Amino acid sequence: MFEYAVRKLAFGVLVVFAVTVILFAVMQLMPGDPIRLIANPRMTPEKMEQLRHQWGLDQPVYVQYFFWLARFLHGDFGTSIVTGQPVSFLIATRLPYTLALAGLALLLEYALAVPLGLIAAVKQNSALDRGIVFVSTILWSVPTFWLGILLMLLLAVKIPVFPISGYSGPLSIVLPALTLTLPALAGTLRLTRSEVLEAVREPYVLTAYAKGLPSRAVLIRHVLRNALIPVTMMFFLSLPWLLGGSVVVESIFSWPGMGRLLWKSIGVQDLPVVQGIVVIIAVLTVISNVAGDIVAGLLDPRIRLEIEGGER
Amino acid sequence: MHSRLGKVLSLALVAALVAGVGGAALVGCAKKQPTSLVIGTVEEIESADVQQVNWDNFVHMMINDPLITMGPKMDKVMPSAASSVEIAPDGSSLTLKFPAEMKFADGTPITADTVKASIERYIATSPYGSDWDPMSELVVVDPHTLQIKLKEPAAYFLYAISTCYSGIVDAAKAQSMGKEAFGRAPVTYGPWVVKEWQQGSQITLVRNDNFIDNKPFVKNKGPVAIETAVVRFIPDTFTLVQELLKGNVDIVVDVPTEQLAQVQADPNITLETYIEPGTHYMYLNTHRPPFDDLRVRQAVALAINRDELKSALDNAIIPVYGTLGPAQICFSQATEDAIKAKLGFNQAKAKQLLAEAGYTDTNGDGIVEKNGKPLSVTLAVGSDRPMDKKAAPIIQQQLKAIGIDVAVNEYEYSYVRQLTRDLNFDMAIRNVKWPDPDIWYSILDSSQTDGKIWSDPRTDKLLEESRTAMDLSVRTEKFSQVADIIAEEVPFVSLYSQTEYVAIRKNVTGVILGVDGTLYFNDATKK
Repeated sequence: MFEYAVRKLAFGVLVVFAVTVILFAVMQLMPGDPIRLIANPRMTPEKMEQLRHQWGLDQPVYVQYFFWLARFLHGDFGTSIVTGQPVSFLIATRLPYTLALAGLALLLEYALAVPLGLIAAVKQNSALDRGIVFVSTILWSVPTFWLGILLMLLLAVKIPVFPISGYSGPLSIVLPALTLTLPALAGTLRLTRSEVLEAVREPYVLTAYAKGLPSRAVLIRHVLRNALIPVTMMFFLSLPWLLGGSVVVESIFSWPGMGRLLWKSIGVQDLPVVQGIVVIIAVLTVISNVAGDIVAGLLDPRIRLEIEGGER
Repeated sequence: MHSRLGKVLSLALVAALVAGVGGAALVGCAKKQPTSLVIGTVEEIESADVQQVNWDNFVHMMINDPLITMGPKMDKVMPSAASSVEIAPDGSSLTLKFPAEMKFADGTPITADTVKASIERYIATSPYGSDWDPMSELVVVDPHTLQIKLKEPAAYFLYAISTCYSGIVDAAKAQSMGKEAFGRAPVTYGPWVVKEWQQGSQITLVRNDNFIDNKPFVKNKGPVAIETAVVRFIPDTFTLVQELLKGNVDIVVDVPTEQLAQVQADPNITLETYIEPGTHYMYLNTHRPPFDDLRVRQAVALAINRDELKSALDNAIIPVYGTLGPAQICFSQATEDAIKAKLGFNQAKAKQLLAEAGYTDTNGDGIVEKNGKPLSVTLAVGSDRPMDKKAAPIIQQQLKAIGIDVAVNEYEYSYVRQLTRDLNFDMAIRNVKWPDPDIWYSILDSSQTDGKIWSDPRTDKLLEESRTAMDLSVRTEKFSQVADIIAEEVPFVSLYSQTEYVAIRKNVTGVILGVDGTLYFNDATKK
């Protein structure tokens, strides 16, 4: 298992490297360059050329990439062309907010979706089941920006329970987290429900009932425990997406996360910032994927045997 | 098995809980702010050091007192950070005197040498160091007097040094702190100074107790009354207005027109207006068909009904026909009226010009053709420019009425600028916002643009001459002649100047709004 993980992580390094190359190439395809994009008419052509030279933008693309890679391998993410601030500083100031929002959103999503999915499956085809599925489908369909504004109007403007935007304490995170959680809830709920329905039909469940175990014990100790294997893997796969940040949620609630920074930086081709954030997301994606595979192996002996058998 | 799943699930949920709650606590901890003036704006600053930015922001105006000011009416040179300003009669020099007791917030004295070092740093550091190109020498006459010698008279230079870009910074501290640290917490001279900048969220400013203001039109010449000011960066305009209506934000400097009615209806808010010191105009690509034909360009100009545009845009614009907007220096109403008479809405004449250019509707579909090819063009507009975005479909319909098929393409405005620079466009709506008309030198003069988009030796000559004309009436006449040539050649069609709205809650009083949108807080108080 350990060797498997090491091999996967090593492959992950190649994946991250490939991501940086592809990203660099894609950014070069965008017309113009950051100096021309951010300059206002007062900037003279001579100054523009001087700045392009200062930032190495007049160098061939492969030279620019090489210098970026050399700095990156020394732990230097470079400097933002627009703000003049170190990329590591810009990311470090925003990462706690992104982690906080992503962490809480995931917590709420699974804390709500798993019990509701279990209830919906156990009460299959009842009014409760249909109601839960109906509401979750609506939430899945609702555009994030609309949901965010609705929650803001209801719970911050009309009934001022939470702050409208920005951060002024722990309560500030609730509305942005709910806006991220509620649409994502549907997917996890439906997955839990379908996995529980499948597990409930397994012969070992009948055996457990036949042995006289109470219904609650059968559901929690046997059904849910097997049904949650794919759900747990989904948890790890969801993490990088949320860490990438949600531009819409961050914009509506003025949440100073990485998503908004990434979006703004792409717009002005602030390549060092874009590269820095994307590398972090790529690394976290690789780690999450490996963690998901390992967790799957730990939880399901069949998968673990397959992995270990593959190593032999 | 059971316990393993339980452990894994527990571990995952605990990790999420720790990240969520711990992060929330971390971000929650430090952010409670004392009672203060809260200003909301959409754009965050690039850097707190005005000498490093590409675009200035409201924040820079609050922490950088300019050397001189053109006053709230932008009509004459007055002292600001300098206690007096003398312009030599021949325009060859300016002499600035500074108060002997002038200090930065940390008590460091500000002398003429300090100001000189700040200017030299600006020239070396700023993307707009060329603002100081007219200067030939900085002479420290005595510890509190600095003479700026000019290569030649430069009227536009006066405006350049009346903006926040001319604010005095502690160049010695900038050197010792380094660019990055100074960009986060610059040592500046202004009514407030930076206390803390929470990236992506807000910047907290505290009063400079050593501040002396020499502006003649403010009553309070000392430190401002309000101790703390917080500028919040709220990118979503709906959210910005909600914060204003709720009283969490005291002032919004750029109220979106979509929410204007809501703000106007609130009895606790005063809505101030000013006309944007600039214009929005529609560039026509004269380098390729169909706009390489003057008659087609003239037809487009005559097809634009600005009154209809104004009505459709909720009267939030002032129609402009000439090159300068009504809030810009050197604007001439006579010139504006003359160009309106020549290029004002005239649909019949527009159709006639198209016919003269060989465009007729042969198949009755409402779109004119020439040599079997319909007159179809694209109009690039900034998706992040709300007024232009609203104007584009109206312009599309107005041009359709004379037989031009227009496809509106929305892009980020920075990309629209890129398209025009690359000459990869048919029509594009752009805008310029700078009170001094010398900005048109940067846009039109072939020495600045290599004549890329459009140039004319006549406008080159007039723009050069305007730079050295110190007499306002002479300068105005030069720009009027530029406007006449533009109206004759129609490389672009001026559309409008925007009305800008500043919302101030009624518990904040004494704020002075200049015609260019500058807010003066010297006499401001908050209950």
